[in-house]
Amino acid sequence: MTSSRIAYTAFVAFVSVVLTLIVVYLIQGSPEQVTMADKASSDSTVYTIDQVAEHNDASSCWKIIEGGVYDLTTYLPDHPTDEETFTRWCGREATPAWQDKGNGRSHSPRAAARLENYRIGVID
Amino acid sequence: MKHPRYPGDILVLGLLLLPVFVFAPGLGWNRSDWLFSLAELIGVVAMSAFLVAGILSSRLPGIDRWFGGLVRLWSIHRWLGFSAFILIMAHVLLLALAMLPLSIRHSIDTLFPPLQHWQVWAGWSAFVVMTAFVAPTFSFFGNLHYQRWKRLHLLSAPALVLALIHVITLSATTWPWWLLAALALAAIGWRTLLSPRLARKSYVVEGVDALTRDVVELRLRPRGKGIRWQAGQFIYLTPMDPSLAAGYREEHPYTIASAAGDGELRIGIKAVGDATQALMTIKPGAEVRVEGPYGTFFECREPERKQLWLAGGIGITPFVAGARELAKGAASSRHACLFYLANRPERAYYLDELVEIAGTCEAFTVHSHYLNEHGVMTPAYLAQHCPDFAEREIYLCGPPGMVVHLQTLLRQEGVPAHRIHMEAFDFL
Repeated sequence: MTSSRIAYTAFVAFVSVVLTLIVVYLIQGSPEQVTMADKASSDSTVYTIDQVAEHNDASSCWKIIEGGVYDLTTYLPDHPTDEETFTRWCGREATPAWQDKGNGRSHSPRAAARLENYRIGVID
Repeated sequence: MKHPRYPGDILVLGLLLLPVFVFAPGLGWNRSDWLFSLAELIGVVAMSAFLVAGILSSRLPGIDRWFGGLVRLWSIHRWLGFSAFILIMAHVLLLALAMLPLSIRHSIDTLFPPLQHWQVWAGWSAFVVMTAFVAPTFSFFGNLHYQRWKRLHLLSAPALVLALIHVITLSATTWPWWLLAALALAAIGWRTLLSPRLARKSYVVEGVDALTRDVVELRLRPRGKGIRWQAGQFIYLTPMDPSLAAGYREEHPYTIASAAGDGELRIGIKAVGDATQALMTIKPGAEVRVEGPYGTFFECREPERKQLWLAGGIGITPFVAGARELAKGAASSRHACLFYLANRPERAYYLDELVEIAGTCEAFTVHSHYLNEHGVMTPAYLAQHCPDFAEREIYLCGPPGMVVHLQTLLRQEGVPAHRIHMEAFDFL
């Protein structure tokens, strides 16, 4: 097999997989509904700033990010920075740290996707 | 000895792996992160390969020696471009796979996030532009005209810039990217903007000798300081004569047919396309520009061995240069036996001159072999005229079919691969 044929075959396979992913996502509907349902159920839990403020250290770390409330206690060991950088935002509004990691850049799409797993509700 | 090492290979490997060593330790490798990190690492390697391919496109005369000649350098460039293209697709698919355990929505969001994550869209744009110039290189939709392909290949510059925006805005450390980007963009800038003005030397066509209906030899004289070359090397020639039917200001590679140190630079040209057909009619006095020389065809690793030259068609030109050098006594230590393979006697251009040189030069013999008369070349025919052929340092240049046939024949006769040197006859 020449490199030209490999490149062409790989390209066709790549486009097929990406299109399949999009089509499955669009026609399945249910994952979105499930997600929306999950989100709705978690969004139905409304927390006050005082409630969030009780979870302000590594033993229990909740954060407010863009109106959502996230319990990030179990994620703490996986965060790439040192613990203090992470825990100083526990128990309070952490959107500024989310939108600027300290270098002027927002968190990555990977982080955004992962964050949703820790959502427990919305802020009052 | 069997696998020659070139200093350029180490340089390429070093540049390729530099970002990997910088970024790999900083990626998360725990159980939840490893697939995503692998996807990112593959993206890093893809970007490095893309940048190093760009760096290698500079085509500085002399640098190709570090890589075993320009033909090999181009094949490394092509291989790096191919790898980058494949790895970018793997990068995207692995990112989607890494998110799939969470949900298909997470996969889709990672690949196609909201526009505020424009860095990701810069990556997609780079891939789309890359596909536009890679598709003709790998003949996705058939072969493209050489000059059109070349113009389309200039899209590599915007693709590189978009890919750089993607990686620089998403990387924690950026200096390896700035370093490689500076080298790559300097190389592309030199190749496309500066070298046509600075590296090409002006020559005048002194004479046009017709060898057959479709083959001419151009005799060129430099206007100022010309190039210095060795037998077996080639140049890029750009005709500056607007009256030509085709190929005006288009550069194409041609093998040098004159001996090193000759006052005239001679090149043999066969009409195989519009541009070469037009050169059949170029008039003395016309200006051409010459860039080079390139190539290391006659560089041998065992100079004490006698040589066997096997030529077919216009592939005779490097051997004409070699024979003319022998005629001048410039390569006194070289002993060469040339087999000139052609379909029929009329297609063995240069043969009269080669026979004449063999008559005066003890170290050189020439034998013609005609397909119509003798059939395909056999070991018996070689042995009949050159009994020690399998013991020699062997040089092959000719059409791909001939080269493959002779290569197989020689390998079957026990000639080790490192003693067979080939010149690509249809490279770009």
